[in-house]
Amino acid sequence: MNDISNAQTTIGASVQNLRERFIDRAYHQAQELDHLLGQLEADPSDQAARASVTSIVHKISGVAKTLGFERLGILAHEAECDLIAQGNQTTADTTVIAFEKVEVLIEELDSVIAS
Amino acid sequence: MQILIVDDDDIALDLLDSALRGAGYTDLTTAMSGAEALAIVEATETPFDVFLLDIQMPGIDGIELCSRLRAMPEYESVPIIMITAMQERHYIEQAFAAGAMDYINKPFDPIELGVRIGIASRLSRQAHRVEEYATEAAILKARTGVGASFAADEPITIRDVPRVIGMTAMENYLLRLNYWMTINSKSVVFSVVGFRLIHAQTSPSDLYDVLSDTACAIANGLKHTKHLVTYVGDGKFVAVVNGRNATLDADTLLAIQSELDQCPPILSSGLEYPVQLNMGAVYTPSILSVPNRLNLLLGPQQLAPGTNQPRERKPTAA
Repeated sequence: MNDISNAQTTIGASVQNLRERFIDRAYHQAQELDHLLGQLEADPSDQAARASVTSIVHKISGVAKTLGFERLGILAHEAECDLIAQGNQTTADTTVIAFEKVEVLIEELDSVIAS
Repeated sequence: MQILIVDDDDIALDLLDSALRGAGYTDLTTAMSGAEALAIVEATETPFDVFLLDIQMPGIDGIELCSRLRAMPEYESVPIIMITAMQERHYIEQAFAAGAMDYINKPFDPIELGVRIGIASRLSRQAHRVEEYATEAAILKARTGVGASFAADEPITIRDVPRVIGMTAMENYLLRLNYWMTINSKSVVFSVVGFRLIHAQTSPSDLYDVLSDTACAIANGLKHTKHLVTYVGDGKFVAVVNGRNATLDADTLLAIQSELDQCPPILSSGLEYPVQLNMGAVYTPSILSVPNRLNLLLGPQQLAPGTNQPRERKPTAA
């Protein structure tokens, strides 16, 4: 049990530091996602913008829950699944559907930053 | 124990680093891309004992990196663990098909990660012992002409056949499937008829070639499906196929047997060694049945022979 409690203490200190870095990064990610969604609204076929959105969402999804941002992690995962499921469908309608969850994610990012 | 962690996300990388240091693993190297990882691997003087790879990375992704590492002789058996937020079956299958031994989903539990690395470390030490034994066996063979043997029921790992993975990897793959993935799977056991006789009659290297060619024929017979195959010893192969509507029937066995008949394994003596396969009952989990586990797939019902009757075959001139 000593090993486990030592591990938890060590991880706990690191997690706090990483949480701060995560929040700092979330600020820039929220802005970037907003910008990219604007690009995709103008041109739903912009594959580079779509790939960037997916990459940012994937990064959030990968660490948010472990760092204690559970709701953010869930929203990011759902958004990522939608983006992947949408694949190469690039009509205006499908873009709107696929990125609804990204917009919800941006709102949650703003909420995390504000708190 | 040297561990290489690869992830293009610096926060994820530091999180993994912290989690592993907290669990007592201090000999850690990190890389933020597949290309960087390969450069580190090629430059290192001391080989790595365990790899932790993220799947989704720009450029060389984790799956390709895993394949490239497996192609290096020194990393044929080293534990490679994929760690990723991608939970879809497609990614899990690809990871194991590329040679991953285990698969951990993000967000991960730091304590669990430490435990899994511990298990991987024990497997790594076993792999090193096997390598040392193989080296000793090679020396012995050179001096006496007698090669290392393996028991008939030993589940050796068949290498170099796409989508044929080791038994440990298959066990971990089945454990990673969630309920719905399991429900949408089918499994079947292929058995080499008269395997004990083949084991008794052939040298270890010829026996390996027989098993490897058989594995190749099975994988080719299933090529229109998303599948993974493993050898479990005693001439038995377990195939797990994705999709309840995937075809696994007498025609599947016919196609596999046809390939074996047309291109039988050739022994070191130059003789062809005909191989006959039986196919057990296809196992399709029902809503109320227990999830797939490798040992459940080796029950009597799954091992029951299909329509083919066993008959003894002898080597013939090629």
